[in-house]
Amino acid sequence: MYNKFQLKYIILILVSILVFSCEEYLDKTIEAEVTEEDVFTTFFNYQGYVETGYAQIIDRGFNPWEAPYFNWGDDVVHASRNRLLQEGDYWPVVNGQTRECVYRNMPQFNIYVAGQAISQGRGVWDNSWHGIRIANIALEHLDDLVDATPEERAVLEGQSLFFRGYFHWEIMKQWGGIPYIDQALKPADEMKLPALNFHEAADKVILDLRNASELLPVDWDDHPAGQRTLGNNRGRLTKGIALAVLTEVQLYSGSPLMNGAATGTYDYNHEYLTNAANTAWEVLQLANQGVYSLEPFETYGNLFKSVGQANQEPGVSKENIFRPPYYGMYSKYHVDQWVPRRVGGRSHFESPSQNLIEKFETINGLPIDDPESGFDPANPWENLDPRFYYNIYKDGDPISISMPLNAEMYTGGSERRAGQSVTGYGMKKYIHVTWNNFDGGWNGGMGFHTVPLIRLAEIYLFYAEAVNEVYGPHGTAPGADLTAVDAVNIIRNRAGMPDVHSKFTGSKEAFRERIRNERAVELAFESKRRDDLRRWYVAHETRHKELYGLDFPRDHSFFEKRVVKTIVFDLKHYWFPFPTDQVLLYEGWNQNPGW
Amino acid sequence: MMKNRDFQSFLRKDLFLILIRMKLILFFSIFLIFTASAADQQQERREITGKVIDNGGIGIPGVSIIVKGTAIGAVSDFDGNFRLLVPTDADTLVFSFVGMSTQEVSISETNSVSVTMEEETIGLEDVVVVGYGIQKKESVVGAITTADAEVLEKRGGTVNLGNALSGQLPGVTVMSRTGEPGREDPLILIRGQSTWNNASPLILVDGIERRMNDINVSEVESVSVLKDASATAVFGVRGANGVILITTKRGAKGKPKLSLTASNTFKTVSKISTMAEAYTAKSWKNAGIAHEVSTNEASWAYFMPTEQIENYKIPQKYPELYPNIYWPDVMLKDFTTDQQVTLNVSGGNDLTRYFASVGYTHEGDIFKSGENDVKGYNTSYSYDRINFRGNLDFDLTSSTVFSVNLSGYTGIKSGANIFYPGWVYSSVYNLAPDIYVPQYSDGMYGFLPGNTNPPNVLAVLKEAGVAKENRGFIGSDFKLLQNLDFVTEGLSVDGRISFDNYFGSVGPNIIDGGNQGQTMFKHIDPSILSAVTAADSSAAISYFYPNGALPVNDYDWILRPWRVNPESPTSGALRRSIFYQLSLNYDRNFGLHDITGLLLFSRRKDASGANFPSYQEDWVGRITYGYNDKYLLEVNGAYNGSEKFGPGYRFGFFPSVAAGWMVSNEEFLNHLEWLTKLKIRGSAGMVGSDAGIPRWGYLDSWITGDDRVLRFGTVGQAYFGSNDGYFSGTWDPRSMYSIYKAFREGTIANPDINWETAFKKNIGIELSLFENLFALEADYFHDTRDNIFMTSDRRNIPDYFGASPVPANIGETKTSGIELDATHRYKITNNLGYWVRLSLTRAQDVILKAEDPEGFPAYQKTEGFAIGQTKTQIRSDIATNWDDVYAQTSLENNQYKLPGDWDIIDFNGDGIISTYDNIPYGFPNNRPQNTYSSFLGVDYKNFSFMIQFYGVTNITQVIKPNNDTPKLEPQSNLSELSVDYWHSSNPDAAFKAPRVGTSSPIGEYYHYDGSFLRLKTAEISYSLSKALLSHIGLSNLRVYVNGNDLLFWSDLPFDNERGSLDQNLAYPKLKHINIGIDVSF
Repeated sequence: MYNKFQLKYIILILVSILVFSCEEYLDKTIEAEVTEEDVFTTFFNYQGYVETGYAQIIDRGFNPWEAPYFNWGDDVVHASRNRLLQEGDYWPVVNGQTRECVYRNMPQFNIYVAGQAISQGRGVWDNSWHGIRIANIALEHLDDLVDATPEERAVLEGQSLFFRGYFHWEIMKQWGGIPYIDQALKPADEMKLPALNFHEAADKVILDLRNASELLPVDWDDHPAGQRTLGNNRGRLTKGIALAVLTEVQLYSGSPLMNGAATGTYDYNHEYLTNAANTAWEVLQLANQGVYSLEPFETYGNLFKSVGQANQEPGVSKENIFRPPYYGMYSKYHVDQWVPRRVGGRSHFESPSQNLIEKFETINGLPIDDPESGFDPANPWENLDPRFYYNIYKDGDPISISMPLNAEMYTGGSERRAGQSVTGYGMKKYIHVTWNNFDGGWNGGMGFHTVPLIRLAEIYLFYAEAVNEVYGPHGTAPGADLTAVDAVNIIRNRAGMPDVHSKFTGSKEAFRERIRNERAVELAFESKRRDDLRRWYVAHETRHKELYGLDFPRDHSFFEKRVVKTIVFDLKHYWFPFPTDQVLLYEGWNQNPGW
Repeated sequence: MMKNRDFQSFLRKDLFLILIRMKLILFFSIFLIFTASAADQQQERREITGKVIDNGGIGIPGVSIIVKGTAIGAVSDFDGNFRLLVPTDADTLVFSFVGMSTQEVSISETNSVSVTMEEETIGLEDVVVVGYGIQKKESVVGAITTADAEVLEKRGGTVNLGNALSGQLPGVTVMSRTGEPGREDPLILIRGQSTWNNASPLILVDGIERRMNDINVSEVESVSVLKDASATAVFGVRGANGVILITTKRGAKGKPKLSLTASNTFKTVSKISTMAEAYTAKSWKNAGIAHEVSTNEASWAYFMPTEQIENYKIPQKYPELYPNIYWPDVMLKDFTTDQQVTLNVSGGNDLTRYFASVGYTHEGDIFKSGENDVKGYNTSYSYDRINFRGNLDFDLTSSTVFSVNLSGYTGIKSGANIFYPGWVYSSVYNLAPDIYVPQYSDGMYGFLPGNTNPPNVLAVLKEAGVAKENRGFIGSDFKLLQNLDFVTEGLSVDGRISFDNYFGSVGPNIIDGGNQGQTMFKHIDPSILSAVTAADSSAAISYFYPNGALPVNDYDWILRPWRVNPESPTSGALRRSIFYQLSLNYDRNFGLHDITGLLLFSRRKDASGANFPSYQEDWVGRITYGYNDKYLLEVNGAYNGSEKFGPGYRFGFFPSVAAGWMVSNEEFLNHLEWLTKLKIRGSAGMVGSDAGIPRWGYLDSWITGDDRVLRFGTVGQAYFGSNDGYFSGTWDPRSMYSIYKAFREGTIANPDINWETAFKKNIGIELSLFENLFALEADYFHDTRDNIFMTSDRRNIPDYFGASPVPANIGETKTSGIELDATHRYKITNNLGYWVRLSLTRAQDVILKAEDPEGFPAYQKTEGFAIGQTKTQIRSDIATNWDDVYAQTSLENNQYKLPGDWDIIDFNGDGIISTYDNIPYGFPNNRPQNTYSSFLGVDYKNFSFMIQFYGVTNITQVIKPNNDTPKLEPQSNLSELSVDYWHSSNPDAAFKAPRVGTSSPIGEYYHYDGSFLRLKTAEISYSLSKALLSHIGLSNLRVYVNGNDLLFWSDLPFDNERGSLDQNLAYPKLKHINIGIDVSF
C-alpha cells in the first residue's frame, strides 16, 4: 500500500536539491570590517597605516621594565652584566635569547592596534623587516588612492620610501649585506633572495632615501598634507630626516669597514664620502635656513631630557633632527639604572671607562697627554671640557640636593660597591641631579629622557669627516663655505671649547684623529661609539678592547689605572652573525665570516 | 510476514532477509511448477500441531514454519500455536523468526512439537555498521573493527566511553591522562598519527557528528571503527583521521524487557612519584651548597647546621617546627567510590518499538576533600551525570518507518574553587616535605611566610569554596524511511533531520576567600624553642589572613560569609546544530549478483556561542557488488568539502575502491572441512582532513583600532607632540595619539589553503579455522598524507617576509603499520570453555616533508623522524675530577662546571654545548607506536572469568617534577628521582652532584621509556541459570566483580599514558574495582 503523493514528494525534494543547491551553501563568509580598499583609498586611513612604520623605529633609550643597554663600545663598562656584546658572545643577542640589547627581543613593550602587537618589541632585526613590509605594501597601493591631494600622495610615498631604506639600513649597520626587499612578498612567493654585498644594498638604500628626501616636506606645518595636524607634526618624517640618514648611510658606506666588506679594501671610499659631504651640506643648508639649529650649551640638556615639568616631552630641540617616536609613559623606571643606588636608583650598571674620560680635552683645547694642555694628573678632573662635567658623575659630584649627598666614587666608596660603578665614574647624560627619591624630580610624570638618533651636531661631524678625507681639513664640499675644521669648531665652540689647535689641522691624518675624538666626546653615550669603532675598522685594536677604571682613595692621594674589562673583539665580531635558522634556509644567503 | 518486518532487524539483516526472500520466491515458483505438473498426484498428509515459545515460556506469534525442502508452511498465532498439514514423508520443520536463530526440528516420529526459540546472539556479529549504513560482515571489504555492547560492558564502571575502548580494538590507541572526575576525556588515535594537526578521529553517534565522552556506555549497541580509505572515504574531507561510529540500542518487537545494571566502584591511586623525606632533602641541599660554594659563595648563607637537620629525622621531636610531611597521606584518601545505575526498557509491538534508558553516574574524589561541616559546602572533586535516551520506531505504513531518537545528558563537575587546580593535583608529588605543617594541632593551617603561592593546598580543599561546571546535551533525531519496492524492488529512501544542543555553564560557585581559602594561617618558626620572653615567642609566630578574613587580633578573626556566584553560561560551550540528510538506498540480488547502492546528501549548520555559524555539505555515493558471495567489490565516493577553504578549494571528490575475495567459498576448497573462512581484502583511496585548520585563512583582512581599544589597553603608537613640548591638555592618553587611526594587516591570506589529503592503502586477511576454533584477522596499512597544514609557527621562511609566516599546506608524512587480532575459542566440555585473544597494533609514521631549513643537518630536521620525536641533549659520564671537568666541552652560557657534573655530548662537534646538540632520542613523546592487548577468558558453568593485559611500547615520556631539586629558598623539594646523587664516595650514583644555587645540565635524565604493561581488566561474573531465573520471573541476572587498570608495570615513575607531566591534568590516575549486578526482566 503506497501513496503516490509520497513518492512525488520525495522525488520533488530530491530534484530540487540537485538543481538548486551546490556549493553556495558553504559560500558564506564573515563580513570584513575593514577592507583593503578602506585602508588605501583615502589619505586619512592610508596615513594611519603608514604611521605604524614609526612604531618599528627602535628607541635605544626606551625600555620600561629593564635598563636599556645600548652603549657597547670602549666607552662604557657593563658591571653587572658580564655577557653579550662585550664578551663577544653574539649568539644569544641575535637569537633573541637575551633581553638586554636592542638588536633582538628587546624589552620594549609592544605597540598594539586592536589587540595585536604591530611592533613586537623584538628589536632591530624583527621590527625592521616588519617596517620594510609596511613600506612596500604602502608603496604598492599608491595607485589606489582616490581621496588625496598630490601633496598628500607625495608624503605617503616619501614616508614609505624612507622606511624601506631606513629599515634596511638598521639591519645592514650591524649585519652587513642583506637581501634588499623592494616588494611586499606574497605568501606564495619563493623567498630565496640572495644577499647583496654591502655597497649593492647601500646603493638601494641611498636611492630610496634620496627619493624620499625629494618627496617629504621640510616642515609639515607649512605643507598642505600637514594642515590636519597643524601644530602636532613634530616627529613626522621630513626632508631633513631623510637627508640626515642619507648622510649617515653614505658616510658609513664609505668608511673602512663597509668599504672593505664590499670591495676588500679596508679604507675610506672617496666616492661615497664625496656624496656624504654633499648630502651633509644639504642638511647644513637647512640649518642655515633656520630649520635646525644647535642648542646653546646652557640648555644642552634639552637634547636628552626634560626636567622639572610634568609630562614634558624630552629632547625637544631644533638640533634634534631625527628622534625615535616618543611614548611618554614612563619616567623613573627607565632612567634609574643611572641613578646611584643610595638615592633610590638601581646602580651604575653602565660605568664610563677611563678610556672615554681621557678623550675629554682640557679647557684650553688640547688632549690631556699634550704637555701644553695644563692637565694635572693629581687633579685629573680639573679644567676639562665642559662636556665632561655634563656627561660624567665624578667623585664628589652632588647626587641629591635636598638631602645633600655627593658621589663617593673612590675605591670602596658607596658608589663603587658591588654592582655599581667599576670605573670610578657614573654616567649622567640622561639624568638630572634631582632625579632621586629625596628630591623627587622623577615623580609625577617628570623626568623623561631620550636618545637622539641623529642630531645636527653629528651632521657637522659627518661633514667634517667626509670633507677631511676627500678635500682635507681645510677643504669644503663643492659649493659649500664650511671647511672640515670649521665644522668641528662649531661643535667645540658651542660647548665653550676653543678651536682645534692648529697643530692638528695640518694633515687629514692628524685631523682625522681629532674628529674621531670629537665624536667620542660630543656623542658620548648616544649609542654611536661601538659603530664608529667598527666602521673605522679599529675595534679589534687592543686600545679599544682594554677598558680602564681608576682606583683612588678618598683623599685622591694617588690615581691608579687598572684594566677592569677586556672586550672580546676579533675580526669576526665586526658583523653580527645572522640568526642561524635564517641563513640555513637556502643557499645564497651566507653566514657572516667567522660565525 | 514481511509486512510486519521489524525495523531493527531490517537494519541488521536486510541483505540477509532479502536474500532469503528471493530464495523463497524462487523455491515457491519452482514448487508451483512442480506441484502444478503433479497436481493430480494426491498426497498423503498429516497434521502437525505445536507451540513456539521464547525462553521465558511465552508464546511467540508470527513465527514462520516451513516444511524443509518445500513451500508448505504456516505462521504461529498470537499465542505461539500453530497447526500445519504436511506430507507424510516430511521429516523436518524449519522455524524462523526475526532476531531468533532458525531451528530445524524433526517430525519424523511425532505430530506435536514444542519449540523454544533462542535469541539470535551471533546475529549481531553478522552485520557491521559502516559509514551511512550497515553491511553484512561477510561482504565488508574495508578495514573495520567493532566492539559490541557485551565487550563494552566488561568495562563495567567505566564512566567514559572513550576509556572503555582502550585496548579493545586493534588500530585504536586510547591515551588517558587524568583521573579527574568528569575530565577523563582520553585522546584517541586511529592507526597512529599522520599529521601534527588535530589527529582525532571523526566521531558520529547514530550517524551524526557528536561528542562521545558523556554517552552512557550502557546505551551503546556497538562501536565501529573505520580505518581504511574504503570505510572512511564517504566522510570525505573529515575522514582522514579515521571514524568512530557509535550506534545506540533500539527496541525489538516483543514484550517489554527491563534491565537494570548497577555497579559500585572502588578507586585507589595508581603509581605516583613523590618527594623525598625532609631529612634526605635537607642533607642533599647541604651537600649541594658545600659542593658549589667555590662557584657561588652566596649559597653558603643557606647551609643548614647539622643539628637542625637532625630535627627532621624520624621520630621527630618537634614535628610542627621541623615538619616532614608526606603529602600523599595528607591529601589522598585510601580509596573512593563511584556509582552507576542504568535502567533500560525495550520492546515493541506491530506498530511501535522502543528503547528507553535512564542512567545515573557519580564519580568520587580521591582527594581528602569533602563536606565542610562548619561552612556547609562540599569541595569534593566529583562528577554527577544523568543520561537519558528514548529511541522509538513507528511503522506508519507497511513500508514506512518513522524513527525518533531523543537523548541527552546533564553533568555537574564539582570541586574546590581554586584558580589553578593543578596546585592541588600536583601537591602529592610536587610539594616539599618541609614546606609547612598542613594543619597545626590547634586546627590552624600552616603556611610559609613570604610564600603563599601555591597556597596551603589542604586549606584550599577545605576552605576555598566550590567551583561547579555544568554541561549538558539534548539531541533529537527524526527519521523517515520509505521502502520504494513499488518503484523498483530493493529501493528505499530515507530522510532525517536532527537538532543538537550542547550547553555548558559554570556555577553556582561558592566564593570563599579566593585561591587561599578563607581561613587563618599560622607559621611557627623553630626559633620559638629558644624564646625567653613572651615577646620572643610571639615574634616566632606569624599569621596570614587571606582575602576575606578580617582579623580582630592575632588570635581572633571574623570570617566573612561566603558568597555565591550565580550560574553563568560558558559561551563557547553553547553549541547548536541542525543536520538534515536524504538518502536513496538500493539493495537487490539478481541470482548470484548482489548489488547495493547509496546516494546521500546531507547538510549541517553549527553555531557555537556568538560565532559565525559554520556549514557543511556532503554528497556521498557508494556501489557494492558481490558475485556469488565470493567476489566483492565496493566503490565509494564523497563529494564534499569544507567552508574553511576558499572558492576553488571548497569542494573535493574523495574516491575509494575496495575488493574482497572470499576464498573459502570457492568450490575447489569445499572439501577443506577445517577451513571455515578465508577472506582476502584490499582497499585504496583518498580521504581528507580539515581538522585543526582555522577558518577564514583564505581571506585577507585589515584591522584598525577603535576608541575603546585606545582607552583600555593600547599603549601607544607613534607620538607626535605639539610644538611646545607638552602633551596637549589633560593627561588623557588619547591625546598622545595621532589623529590617524592605525591600521594593520590582519590575516594575510593564503587563497590556496586546502585540506590535508591522505592516500590510504590497506590489505587484510580474515581467517577462521575449525568453526572459529582459531580466528585471525590481520591488516597491513600504508598511508601517505600530503598537503599537511603548517601553522605559522611551524613554517620556516625568511624573516624578511616581514610578518608572521602564512600558514600553508606543505607537509607530507607516511604512516604504515600492521594490526593483528587472533582469537582461539575452545569448549572443552559443555560446562567449561575458554577463549584467548591477542591483538596488537603497530603504527609508525615518518615526516617526509616539513619545510625544514635546507641547511640543517639531518639530525636537526624534523623530516625523517616521527611526529613528536623526542629530542634532547645526551649526557655521558659524570666528571669525577677536575681533569674530567677541563676535558668536557664548555657550555653555551659560561656556567661554572664542577666535578660531579654530567658531560654532555657535543654532538655537532662545534666545541660548545648548545641547543644544536639536542638530538633525536627514543621515540615520540605523545603516543606509543605499538600497543598490544591479550585476553584470556574462561567460562565454567555459570561462572565467567576474563582478564586483559594492555601494554604499549615505543614512547618516550619526560617526567620531571616541577621542582625536582631543592633551591635556595627555605623549603626543600627533592624528587625521589634525584636522591641518589654523585659524590666522590658514591661514584656510581644515578644523579649528578647536587647543585642548589647554580645549575648544571641534566641531558636526557627524566626522559623515560614510556612503555608500560597494565592489567587492564579482570572480571569474574556469575550468571544465574535460566531455569532458576524463570522461576523468579527474571530473564537474566549477572553479578560481577571486575577491575580496571589494576596493576601497572613500567619504568615510569608516574602512571601517565602520554607525553609529559601536565600539572593541570595531573589528577592521579586511579585503579578501579567494580562490583556490579545486571538484572533483566
